[in-house]
Amino acid sequence: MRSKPFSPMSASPWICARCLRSATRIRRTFNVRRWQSTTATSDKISPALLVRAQAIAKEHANLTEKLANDFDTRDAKRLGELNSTAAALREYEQAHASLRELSSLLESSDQELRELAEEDVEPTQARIQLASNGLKSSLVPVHPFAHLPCLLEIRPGAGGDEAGIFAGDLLRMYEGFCARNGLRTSVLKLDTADFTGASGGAGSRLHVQEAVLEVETPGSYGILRCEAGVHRVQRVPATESKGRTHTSAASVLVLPSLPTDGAQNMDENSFNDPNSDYFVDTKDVRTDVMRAGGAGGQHVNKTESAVRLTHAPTGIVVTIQESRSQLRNRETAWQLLRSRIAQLRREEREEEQARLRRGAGAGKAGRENKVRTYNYGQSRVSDHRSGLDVRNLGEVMDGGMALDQVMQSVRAWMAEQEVLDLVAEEEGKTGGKG
Amino acid sequence: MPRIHPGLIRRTHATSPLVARLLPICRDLRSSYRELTWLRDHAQHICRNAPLQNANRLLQSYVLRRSRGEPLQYILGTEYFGPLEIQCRPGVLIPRQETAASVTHLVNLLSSAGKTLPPRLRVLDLCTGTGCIPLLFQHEYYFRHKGQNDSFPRLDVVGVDNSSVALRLAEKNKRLQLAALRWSSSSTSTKHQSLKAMTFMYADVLRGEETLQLGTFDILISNPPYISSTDYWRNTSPSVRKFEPHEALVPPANANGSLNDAHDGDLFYHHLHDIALRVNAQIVLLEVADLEQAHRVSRALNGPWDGVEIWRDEPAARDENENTVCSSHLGSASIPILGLGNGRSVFAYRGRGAAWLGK
Repeated sequence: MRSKPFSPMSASPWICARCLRSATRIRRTFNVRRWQSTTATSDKISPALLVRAQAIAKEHANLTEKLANDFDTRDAKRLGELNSTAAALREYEQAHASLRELSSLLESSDQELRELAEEDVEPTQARIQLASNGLKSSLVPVHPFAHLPCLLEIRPGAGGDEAGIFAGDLLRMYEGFCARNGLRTSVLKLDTADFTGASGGAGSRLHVQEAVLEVETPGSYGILRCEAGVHRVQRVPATESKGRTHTSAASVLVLPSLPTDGAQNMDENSFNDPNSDYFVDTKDVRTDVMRAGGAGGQHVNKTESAVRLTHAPTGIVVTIQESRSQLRNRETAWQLLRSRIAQLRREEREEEQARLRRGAGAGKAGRENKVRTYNYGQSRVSDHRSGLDVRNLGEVMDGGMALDQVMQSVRAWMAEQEVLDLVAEEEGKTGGKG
Repeated sequence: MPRIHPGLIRRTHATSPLVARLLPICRDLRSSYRELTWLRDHAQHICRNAPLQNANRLLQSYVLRRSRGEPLQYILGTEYFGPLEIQCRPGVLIPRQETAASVTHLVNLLSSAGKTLPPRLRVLDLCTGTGCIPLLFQHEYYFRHKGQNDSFPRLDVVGVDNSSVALRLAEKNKRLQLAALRWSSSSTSTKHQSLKAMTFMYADVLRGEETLQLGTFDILISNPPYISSTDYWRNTSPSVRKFEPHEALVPPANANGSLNDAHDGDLFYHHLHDIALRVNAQIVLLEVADLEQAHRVSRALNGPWDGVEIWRDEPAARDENENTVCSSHLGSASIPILGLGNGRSVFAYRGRGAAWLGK
């Protein structure tokens, strides 16, 4: 008799244990307090912004009409970008219209009607508030690098050995964060002082001099952008014998990681366009491979595979020697160089804009600003931008949910700052005209 | 060679004894550290497949072997040759980066020429060793022509060596490349077929009779033993002397006749030149030890060659500070010297070869 064949299809669908666990996990909430109030101040939307929103809505309407007749991918893409603003403006105008209706009802002679209207005034106000907030945030342009994968560069700052150890802690924190959020990472470069990384094995703490972590998942730049800046630590270091608390720092740079072939998804920003941030003229880059001294050839069997790239106009130097393959080192070095140059150009442009705005005032999350403090004595992490305090240092350092929370608050803060910038910019424009 | 300060070794030993062990061989801290990382990765990789092994003990043994001068490539079993990872084994010369640079440059020159190539491009590599040159030539050639649908000529490569160990290793390397290719492209692709048709055969360059039966070739490449017996004791690194095959580095001693002692490294080039003419090669690329030998070899190429060039370690490199093309006047003809680094190879072309290169 023929036995019944085992069929995997007949069984209930197989679910990976991790997915099952994460689906059924109870999200813990943390004791989170906001010390500073940094909510966007004006609930009134500025006329300049409104004009801009109306212009966008008009373009949206035009495009919709055009697309109804013949389809064009470029237009469709643009339409998608404008969609949120148009929808937000519609909502905003509807809310205002209903408020106007209500106010006319308030003046009516009917007592009952007036009471009903009065009841509705508050929710409508709230709706307007919500709509104007939505409109503002929809006007903030998406960061041009937000859709890209990114590189995290971690370097110790002031504080000697302790800073190096803290840089290693940060590296582990981000690795943990990415692993938990399903972002693929790989360590592109890891330079450790006195070579503890090689000799100490996995358990020991890294004493990092420079680390570059690549986060390969697209969109990770948008997620991790808020981490750029100087991270300060206050604790009793492992190297301290008298039990004094030290303050040291490590700086984190977030660079956009550019796809190796410029073809996909980057029509206006291809590598070959000299005006784009991604363009690096190969003539400007000097490549040095560490050549064997002496005779070379069959005379020696060197294992040196280091590659050094020097970009003459900016003076950026990248040295990579992680792999035994010189070619792979060269590719990694180029990737890092491109990213650094693109970030530098972007920062220059942002500084220029900030200078033009004047008075918009928000501190940019650049490399010079202290952005966050990790206080081990009080087991506290406080972010200096959003003003958020989390008393869950252990979990933050493991890259857990608490870190998510901190980053969320920073992203919200950044969005608010961008709205403020935008208002200042638009008002500056209209003021200049008038 | 600069002396390593004993204090450095002592200090390093305190934090990491293994790095201190590698220091005398690697000569500086950074590369000792890199090599230890690679050795550790390899030990862990081995232990993942063989759970009975102890990774730490394995690593200790690797470091011990390395500290006695054994080449890292023999311990790890591979070396990168351009983008290819080539298997290495004691008894066969480890591929050198400079060779890869010359071969890649040659392929680039050919590919920019385009249409004028013959319908079937035949390449002969003498003294092939690990088979690295045929494999790299093949890989680069099809990489350059990627995207063009079979309109470019098919490539046939033959590797020749007189060592059965080397031939077996070359076959193994070819098999591994085929296996790697299977994942990336279909078995009907021209690259796949060309790689499958690649052959390695036994012949002794110094006794030319066997090589006569090879037929005709368009291009002849060779990285023959070229170190003279005095140079061998003076200029090779101890690791090379102790662990790499002598017969792959120095031509056999009982040379017949005219060569004096200082130039006994040139023995192969006369035979290679004869073979090049016999197989009707239009382009030759011969690796040499240094600029002096390059001059001697290019002078010896006094046959029907239309052009002779000397390439340095990085023939494609250009540097504003150094003169990229400087001619050396030997007798009546001047020979351009291209690139950066030591004099590395002699390149010559004639007849149709000049057209393929666009000269």
